[in-house]
Amino acid sequence: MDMIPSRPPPAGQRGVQAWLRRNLFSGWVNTAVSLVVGYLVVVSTINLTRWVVTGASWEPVWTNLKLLAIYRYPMELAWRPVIAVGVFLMLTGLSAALGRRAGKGKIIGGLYAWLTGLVVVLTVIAWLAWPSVREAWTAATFMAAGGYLAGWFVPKLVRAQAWLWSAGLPVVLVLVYGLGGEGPWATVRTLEWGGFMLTIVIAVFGITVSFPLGIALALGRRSSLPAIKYFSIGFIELIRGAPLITWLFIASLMVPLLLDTSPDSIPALARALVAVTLFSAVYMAENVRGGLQSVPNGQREAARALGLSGWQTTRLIVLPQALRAVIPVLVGQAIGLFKDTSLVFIVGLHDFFEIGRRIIPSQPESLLYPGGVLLELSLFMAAVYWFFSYRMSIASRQLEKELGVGER
Amino acid sequence: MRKILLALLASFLVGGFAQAQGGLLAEIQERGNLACGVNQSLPGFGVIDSEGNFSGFDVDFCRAIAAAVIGDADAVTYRALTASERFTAVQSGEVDVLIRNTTWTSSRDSEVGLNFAPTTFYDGQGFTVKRASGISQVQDFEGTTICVQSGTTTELNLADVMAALDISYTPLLFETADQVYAAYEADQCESVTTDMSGLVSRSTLLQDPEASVILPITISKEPLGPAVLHGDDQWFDVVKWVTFATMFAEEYGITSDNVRDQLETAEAPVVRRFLGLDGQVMQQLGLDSEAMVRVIEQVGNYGEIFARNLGPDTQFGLERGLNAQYTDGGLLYSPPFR
Repeated sequence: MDMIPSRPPPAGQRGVQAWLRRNLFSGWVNTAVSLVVGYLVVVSTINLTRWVVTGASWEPVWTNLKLLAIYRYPMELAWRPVIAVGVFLMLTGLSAALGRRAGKGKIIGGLYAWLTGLVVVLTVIAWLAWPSVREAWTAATFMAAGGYLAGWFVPKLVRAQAWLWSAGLPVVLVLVYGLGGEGPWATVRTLEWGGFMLTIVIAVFGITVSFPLGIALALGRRSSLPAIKYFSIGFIELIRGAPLITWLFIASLMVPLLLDTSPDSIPALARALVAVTLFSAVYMAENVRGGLQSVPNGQREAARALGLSGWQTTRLIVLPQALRAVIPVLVGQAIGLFKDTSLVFIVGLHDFFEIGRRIIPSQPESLLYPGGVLLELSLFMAAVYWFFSYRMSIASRQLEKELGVGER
Repeated sequence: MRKILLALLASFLVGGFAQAQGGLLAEIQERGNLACGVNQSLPGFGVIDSEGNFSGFDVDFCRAIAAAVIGDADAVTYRALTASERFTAVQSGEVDVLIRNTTWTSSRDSEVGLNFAPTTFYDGQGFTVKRASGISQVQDFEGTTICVQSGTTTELNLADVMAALDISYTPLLFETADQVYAAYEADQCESVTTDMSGLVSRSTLLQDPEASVILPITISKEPLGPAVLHGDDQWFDVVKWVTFATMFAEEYGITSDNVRDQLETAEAPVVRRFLGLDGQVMQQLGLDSEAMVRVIEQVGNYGEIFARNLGPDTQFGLERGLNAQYTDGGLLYSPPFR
């Protein structure tokens, strides 16, 4: 007996036409909505493209890239933050290669590939247009490649990995801040930091420090010890009760007035970091608490029955399940924090957004463009924020997939 | 009770601080640079260029003080301050001097604890008008329409002044500055009013900057000048007299170009004292004899500073108006160096 070979569905039910009819024109309401929305999309795309290509003046963005990137960080020392990026990429590359050897590390591999691509692009631009940081970006590219190759060919490094990462942090700090004195290692005071570099510093510090702090607060809130419990509740509710902008104001005006009056004893950056981190930590805590509540009590009881101590139960049984449940929320929070850094202008810091929004449009050169340059700068900044935020959500999705969230 | 406590706290903080500082002048000379609080986003007054360098009218006065005190106009650490943090920055000693378009008022002089050096820029509510309208003085506003932002002191000022002069006009009110200018561009009114420094920054953004002009008149008082903290009279004197020096030099025709020659040729006693050739004037201020020579050489006299940042050769094209020497009908008047 011969099987009748399967045939494609009739012409009216496949292809572009069928898809269109099914999704966009399946009734007169949908048809009308599709036409109106389609018209708006097409017109605005055409107008936007025309403006971007012919109407906009991109020159102020291009000439002020240094300001947008590092604000007043001295140009002759600009190689230091670039090398710091190189150090970070070297470590990332190392971990990515080691992970790949072990058949894991898709997420860090993806981040590494993406960031390295960015660095290569910047290196090419540096060779074309930025003579003063040409060597530095080239070195950063080689460092990124070197880290990966080292990880790939020297698998033994897997044991040194944690040690190398912990050594990397002070190296990056020294590179950005300096050692003091004159010459190539002169100190660059945090007042002169700014631009995208500052945005990254605040975001990375805020995210990494608020994460453990948030977990501690969440556990504290569920603790049976009244002192810890009520402190945690009070702290969370207090900080959560006012907007970030308020805490930044308090950090900027009250703290120096109440604690100390000597200049520079509490740099504006430190004030901002404290405010941003604590604010993020309490939201982190509430998110983690949600995760903790989702772990069934049976898990805890089973762990105790197996003889695990209270701390072991939390660390090995409860927290891993709790955190896995709230990954999307945590990443959402990290993205939010990254963008909230644009509020630190309140404490007198000059982050990426502040420079594009206030400083560059005030330059006499910018005032010569009819209508100003705010629109161009806003579009550029939106693109940069989007670029990094979107990459974070990709990493988050990969992480969810790897941990099997939503599949069990 | 609370007020007394606050006052006690404030006097403790301020007093304790002034004491700990000793002489700010000596400290700055030893430190080798001046901490100056400025604006970084007010066109013409304080901005940052693409390399990260500060420039502007206010910034030049920081440079003048550094040239006098340290000997190098570039020996300045700029601190870009927001409007809300500027006074705290002076009170905490974070900046040695505040030159950030700050209006001299009685409460800032007393309660905030500032000492104001001479006014460097007589700001005030001014007008941008269409050239074609032919308006050149306040009386010409009779029967015209003026675009103004609603709910501001600007709106109240305008009403007060016009009522006092018995001039009838039609105010056209808008929520934001953008709307005000949009209406002006659309010929809904003949003029726009707001602070002079604000008019300046907007003037070049107009579609046809040539068709409008900023009138050299003001109808409110916003005297802007350098300010230092109470409690250090010597430092206050230095800031005050460096500011006067720029005005004095203009009055006596001393410019950055001719100041070195004047050192050789000056004969008038008043100029010779200024240049440190005769007498002990500069030493009495705690400076060396060539201090003001450096100010003029490195930064310029008041006229040069004004012309460089705001004057007719810049895109802002501001007239001197009240900011002219008293001999030209302005308010700049330097006491003698004697």
